[in-house]
Amino acid sequence: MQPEQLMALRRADLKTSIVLIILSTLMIIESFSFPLSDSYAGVTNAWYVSPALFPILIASILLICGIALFVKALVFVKKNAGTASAKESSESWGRFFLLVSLIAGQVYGWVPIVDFALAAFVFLFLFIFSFYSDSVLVQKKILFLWTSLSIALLLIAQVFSPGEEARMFLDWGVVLVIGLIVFVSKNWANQTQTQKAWRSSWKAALVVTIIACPVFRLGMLVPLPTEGIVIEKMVDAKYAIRDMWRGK
Amino acid sequence: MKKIVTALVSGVLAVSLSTSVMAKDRYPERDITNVVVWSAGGGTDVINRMITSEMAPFLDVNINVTNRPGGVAGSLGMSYVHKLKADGYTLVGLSESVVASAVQGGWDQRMDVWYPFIVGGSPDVISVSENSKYNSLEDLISDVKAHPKTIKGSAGGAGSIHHLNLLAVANGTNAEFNYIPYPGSAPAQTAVLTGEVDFVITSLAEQQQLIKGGKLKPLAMLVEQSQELDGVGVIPSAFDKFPSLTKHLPIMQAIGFAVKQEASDSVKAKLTDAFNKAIAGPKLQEWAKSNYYVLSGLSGEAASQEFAFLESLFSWTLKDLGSVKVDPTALGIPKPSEL
Amino acid sequence: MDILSSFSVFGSTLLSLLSSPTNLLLLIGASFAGIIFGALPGLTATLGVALLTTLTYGMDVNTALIALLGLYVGAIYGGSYPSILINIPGTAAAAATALDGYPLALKGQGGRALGLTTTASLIGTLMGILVLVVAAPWVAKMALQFTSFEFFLLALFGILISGTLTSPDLVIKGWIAGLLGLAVSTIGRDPLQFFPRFTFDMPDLDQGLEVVPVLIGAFGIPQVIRALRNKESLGAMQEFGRILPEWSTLFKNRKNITRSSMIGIGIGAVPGIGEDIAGWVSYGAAKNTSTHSETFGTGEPEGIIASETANNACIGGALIPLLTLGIPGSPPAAMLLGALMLHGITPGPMIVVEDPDFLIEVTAILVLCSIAMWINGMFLAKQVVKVLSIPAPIFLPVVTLMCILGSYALGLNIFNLYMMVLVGVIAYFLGEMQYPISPLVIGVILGPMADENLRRAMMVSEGSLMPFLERPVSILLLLVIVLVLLSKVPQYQTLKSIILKKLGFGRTSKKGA
Repeated sequence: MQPEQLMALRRADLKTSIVLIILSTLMIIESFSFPLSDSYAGVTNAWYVSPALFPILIASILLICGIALFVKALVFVKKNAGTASAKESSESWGRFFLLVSLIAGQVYGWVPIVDFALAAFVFLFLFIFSFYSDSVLVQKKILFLWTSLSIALLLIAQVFSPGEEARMFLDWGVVLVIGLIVFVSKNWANQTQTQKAWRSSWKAALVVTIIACPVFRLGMLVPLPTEGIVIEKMVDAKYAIRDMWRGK
Repeated sequence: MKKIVTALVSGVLAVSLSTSVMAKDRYPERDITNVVVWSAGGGTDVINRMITSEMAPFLDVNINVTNRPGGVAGSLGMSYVHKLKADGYTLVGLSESVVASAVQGGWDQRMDVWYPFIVGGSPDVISVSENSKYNSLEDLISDVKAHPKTIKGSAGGAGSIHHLNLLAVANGTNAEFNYIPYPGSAPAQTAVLTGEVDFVITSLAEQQQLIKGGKLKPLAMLVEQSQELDGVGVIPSAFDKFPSLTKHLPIMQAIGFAVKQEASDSVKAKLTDAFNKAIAGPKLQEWAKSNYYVLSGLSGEAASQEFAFLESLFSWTLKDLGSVKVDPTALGIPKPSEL
Repeated sequence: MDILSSFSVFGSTLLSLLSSPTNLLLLIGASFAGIIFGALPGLTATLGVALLTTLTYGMDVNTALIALLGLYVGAIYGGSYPSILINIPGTAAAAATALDGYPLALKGQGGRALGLTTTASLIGTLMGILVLVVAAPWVAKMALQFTSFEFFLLALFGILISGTLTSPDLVIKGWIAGLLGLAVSTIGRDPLQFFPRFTFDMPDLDQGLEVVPVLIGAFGIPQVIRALRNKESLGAMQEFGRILPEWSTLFKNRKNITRSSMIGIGIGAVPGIGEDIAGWVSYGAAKNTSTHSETFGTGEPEGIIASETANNACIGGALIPLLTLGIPGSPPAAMLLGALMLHGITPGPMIVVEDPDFLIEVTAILVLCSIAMWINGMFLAKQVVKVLSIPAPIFLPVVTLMCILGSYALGLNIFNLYMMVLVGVIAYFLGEMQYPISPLVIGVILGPMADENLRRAMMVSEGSLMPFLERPVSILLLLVIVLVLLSKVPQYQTLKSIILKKLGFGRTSKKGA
């Protein structure tokens, strides 16, 4: 490891150790509010039965480790005060934020209220396109687009907590938005000469969605997080086919 | 691209039109899902898989069993099903222990939101290990009275039906046990085998193999009737020697499933019909007999009353033990004496 | 029953099962489905057996058992695929396999690693079956020596194992990671008194964090972020390596295989814990007893053989208390108990009397299942390696989607997804700061076991610690723990001095290790 990298690591250690010290202290304080020696829920209690025993034990050792890390890091930083810290490039951070935004946005924003097939398709499409195209411009646009859409969906879910009917309506809206996204992103692809990546992205996203949804929902009988206009119709289609099969 | 989109859209429209027309009053049109609130492999899970498999032919659809355990006393599974449409396509597989969910802060509904179907349950039995010095419940109780709070007993988790049975025995005989909690019936029974505790209270169904195999020595049934067990003999009822127990017992398991109370009458009628036929069927009868389950077969109003009683009993017992988050009065749960 | 008649029952069961083409098809199909199940992140053997239970309701017992056991054996083995190929364990049981399997794949020996795990899994399963047949009553008696005291020591042992999975940076970081895992494991209702700890009045937290989402969050998400952020490529595949068994490597590992099998069977037989821990303990044992422990973690075949043999040997072990006492030895075995009860069979001490041939029939079916797993594995391993030829920017988004589905599938709870992402981002940063992630996951798995059993042990002994020194198994476990701790000391000292000399202040980090 380069001295600059090690310096960056030790500076990070310094910060983590402070977080650890605070966290473990809070944990110890909270633990003392647990029943310490009174009987609880019909279980005779003593200090060694208390639910606080284990957390206090763990948090205390964690506190000691935190302090040790703090001292180690501080000694190092003081000793090598002249060394600069290595920094990640802004492009690397850009990719990091995009990745976190994609995954977190999907889980917190899309999956809870949007039909899983729709959410999966748009997630895969944008995720694959942004990294397959490997273009900073595309990544920036997608970061902005995805983050704002995800936050909007999160707000809709939190503020209105839409019922079944409203969610269906929302799904149709999402279909429209997805169409727009696919259309607009074509332009970005043209701008950055990444048409091939764009084509591969939507094809891969579509194929995976079309395979994964029925395999999980119909094959493995795993209910999907949100079942809206696509998944429900897919399930209905199964019965329609089955009834035809049975000759009803 | 355009062609694909048009084809997709028209396909979706066709399917949606065709299904929305036939979705009326032809319940059940598609598979039913039974969401069991306890984990896979347990007693509630097995019974739910059994009853739904037997009901399926009468409804002419599959009934898929999924498990959604967790929360407090099955609250996650119950609130999940409660949030869904009352169309009868989602059932909730539950047992008596879920009634304590509300007072423990798991969710804010009472049991009357469900229209329950009770398959049955297995009576509780108090047992000791094969080489224990106790040969009868009297031996055990008199020893406990001589050494209060030192004789260790296990009965599954705190707040479970077996724990309530243990408390009832303690109250009815004025004996003070040292209750050691375990996360379920199986580990509680294992603890007797390993000698970690002196006695265990769980259901006969869960103990029968160990009793018949001579690993456990049954002392008494915690119900009114004595029980004949092949190759073992008769297990006496605890009530014979301790009549005061009748004030507190029996507390019987109630394993089954439920549909939302708001479901339409035709849904309830169809489920009840299939349920009654399945209960009466030879497979379930035989299975219950060989596994020492007492079939109940209650549904609707009668089953609701049973759950209301259990809800009141569990809630107030837990309140007395000081382990409730929400006061039963705040939820409008009457005391058992008021029922 | 004498041995001769056992053999004739065994033979006739094998023949009757093999003579039916439907059974054969079902066997291969269930085993295949199991492998896929295990290979998809988050889908575990337990969930697979649960899903199949309802589907096998109408079948007769032997046919149902073929499907259920075939899937069980396949799923335990299948978890090794993503561990080796993309460093994301498909199941907790296979997490230890990733430590050496992924470095092997990076060296272009993914095919070889898969070949080794396939045969190791077969040997492990067969060893488990052998012990199940020969020594079931004896092992069951041993399992009953485990009271809360021994459970606590076993958990402690597992936690200390994480001390051997040290950080590439400071040693203390391994401890911090383990402690963080243990701290996280205290969230939720406490197992003895049902008191809510650190739940902040959120009902979703009452049950605590589930292992599967934490596992996927801790391994899957950081791997995706790291690879795409740093534009790393996944394992190379210039060299397919040998998929067929390398008899010489296996022969060299005969001691390792025997020890790992015994560990797997033992842990499987102890009620309530199973594959999840067996792999780690066996890996730790292999590393601690090895003469070249420093090569572990850099692509050491001994490491993957140890963990894969042990987690498959667990199956036979877990069936011992199930079939002799009616006590499931592991979570999938608990599900199997439910499935057997649906078919009117209540496993327990009476099964020998009520259905004397049952144990032999199960054995015969298990033998078939392990062979089916091996054949499937031999075919699949070569194909599966090819996924590495898919470009990472296409493959990893799909993996992420699978991670999301897998975290959701077991608990069917969106909250698990929220936790998965949170754990994932934290684990990514911890990884960047050179914290090892494995101790964190071990902490989450073993924390509740240590907590619950320590307190219950003291409850039973009324506060006394003496029973730890009075019970034979407990003394044995204490001895092993002390030995492990002692064995670390000189090695750690010499290692430290060498490295200090080399660098002046610390150890180099290895990317992707």
